[in-house]
Amino acid sequence: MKMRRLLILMLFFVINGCKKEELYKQQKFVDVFDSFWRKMNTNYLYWDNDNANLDSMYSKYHSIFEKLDIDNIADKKKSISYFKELTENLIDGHYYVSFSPSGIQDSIIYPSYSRKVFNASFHDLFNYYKIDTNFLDKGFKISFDNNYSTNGVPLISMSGTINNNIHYLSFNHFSLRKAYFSAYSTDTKNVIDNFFSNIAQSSNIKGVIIDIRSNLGGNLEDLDFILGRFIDKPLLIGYTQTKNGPGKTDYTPFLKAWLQPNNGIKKRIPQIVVLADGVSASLAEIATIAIKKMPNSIFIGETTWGATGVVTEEAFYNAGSFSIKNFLSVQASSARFIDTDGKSYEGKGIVPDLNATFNLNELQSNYDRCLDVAIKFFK
Amino acid sequence: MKHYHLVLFLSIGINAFGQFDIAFKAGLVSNYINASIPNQTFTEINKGNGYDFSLMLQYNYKKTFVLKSGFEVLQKKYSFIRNGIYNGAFKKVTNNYLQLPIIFSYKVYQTKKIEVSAEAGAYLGYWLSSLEKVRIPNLYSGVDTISSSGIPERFINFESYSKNYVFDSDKDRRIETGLIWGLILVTEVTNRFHVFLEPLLYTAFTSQQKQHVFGSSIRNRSLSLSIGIKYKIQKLVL
Repeated sequence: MKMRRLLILMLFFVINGCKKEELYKQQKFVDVFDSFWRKMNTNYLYWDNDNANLDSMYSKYHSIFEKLDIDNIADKKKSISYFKELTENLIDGHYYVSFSPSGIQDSIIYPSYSRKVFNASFHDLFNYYKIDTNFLDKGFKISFDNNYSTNGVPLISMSGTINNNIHYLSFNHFSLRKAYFSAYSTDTKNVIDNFFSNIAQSSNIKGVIIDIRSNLGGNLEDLDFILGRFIDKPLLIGYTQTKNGPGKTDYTPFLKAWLQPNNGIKKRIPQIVVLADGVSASLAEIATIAIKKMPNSIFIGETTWGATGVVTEEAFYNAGSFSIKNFLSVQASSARFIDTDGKSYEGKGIVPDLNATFNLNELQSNYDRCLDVAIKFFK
Repeated sequence: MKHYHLVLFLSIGINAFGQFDIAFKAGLVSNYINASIPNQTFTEINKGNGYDFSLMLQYNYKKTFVLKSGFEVLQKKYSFIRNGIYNGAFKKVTNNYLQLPIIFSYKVYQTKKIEVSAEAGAYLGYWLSSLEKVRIPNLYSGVDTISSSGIPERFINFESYSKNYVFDSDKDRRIETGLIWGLILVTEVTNRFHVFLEPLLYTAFTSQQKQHVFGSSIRNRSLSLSIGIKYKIQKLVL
């Protein structure tokens, strides 16, 4: 069940996409395959990284799909394994295939998950707040906002102080700005206001901890909304690129990716620590990079997931998610991200400056090593 | 020795039946594309206007037929304009082609000063260069506001760039072939000089893209309207 929740949650990145249905008539399995491969050509973003030999793969699988019967349940199941073989090496951390025909509705293909799940260091999403409330001073604020839940998991945010001089903010996905201005989500507003008002009123700040462990991303606007408070002029955090044509590599130039200031706190923060873990993904990874660009910042935790692209509606760019009518839907990145030095973290993740690995036994004993390392870092 | 005989043979032919003209023309080209691009929703494909120049050698046969060929440079432009909720984004493409046309003209109307001919032919083109001017939204550059009803909104800024397109031999077809048909209206200025007005329609057989990206086909259709000057050079030849 936990795995299923993770997979479903990973669908909620940046901008939820409405799926445009494939217009091509499909009568045979090979037509489904051709439609899929055509869309892969036009929409998939990382052809240059994946170094896939498109022509040879197309020829091989086209002839395989020609022999399959779309009305035969055994052939439908076989097709899952073929689609899996085709996509298993794709580096797009957002890439995810779901199927709609009866008999294979529960099937999914999630290449980045499949590669990670057997790693010894892999762990699932974890609700750290249950332990971390023990670290916070009296008066901390916590919010469980069901108005901005994803697949039954509410937006959970928490803020407070540690030892009265370290300011702490955590949240499990990025929908804070929407919740903040919502008439129905006053608790999230209280958490955020508590965090920034504590900083404004504090006279002995040692530093700030932004905890985005087990955060799966969300709305891009939250980057400026939260992190924009820590800067007073635009901060270049990297570059973004999409496609401007139907070809595999019809790339745009790299456009500058900015973090924009947002009513800055106008106070020097001696140290900013970002906490992220192995399932921190998408916008949580971009936020990690953005914080690392700020002076006196450090990243503590684990190597992140490696899904740094942006998922938008299908029509937004010439790349990204697509669906093949009555058969499958693909979630894929619409724009990729590279660091200011040109480094890509897609499929690799961001390596922490200070390693603090996930330890379930310790957490079940109410000890959060990662947060403890961060607190000790300020001493 | 063989070459000598060939030149001699041609000279006899020209002397006996016809004359040569040399013609230069320049004009405007309105190009649009027949396109099949599966992932372009909320998109209008618009025509683009460019220029053409050509230098042609004409062979006149029996005062009725003209065979002409030479070199011409055509700008074949088009644009993809996003509409609806993506209004403001576009991609404008300027493709420059060097073409070798072969055109037959047949005089359909003639007075002492004016000739009108119908024309038909074919061309072989080479895609010389391509420039893209693009305006797209940059997701990492936005302005956050609150609407009058208190709803948070984000307006994404556009960024523009232009770049010379780098050809991809796996994908792009640089040779274009097609048909030409149109009219030419010629009026005499002096015995040697004529001016003309020539509308021509160029219809490509071939797509700019190979079937590598199947489902995406871009074929040019260009309407040119040129004015030119023609100089009779038969006495120089003979």
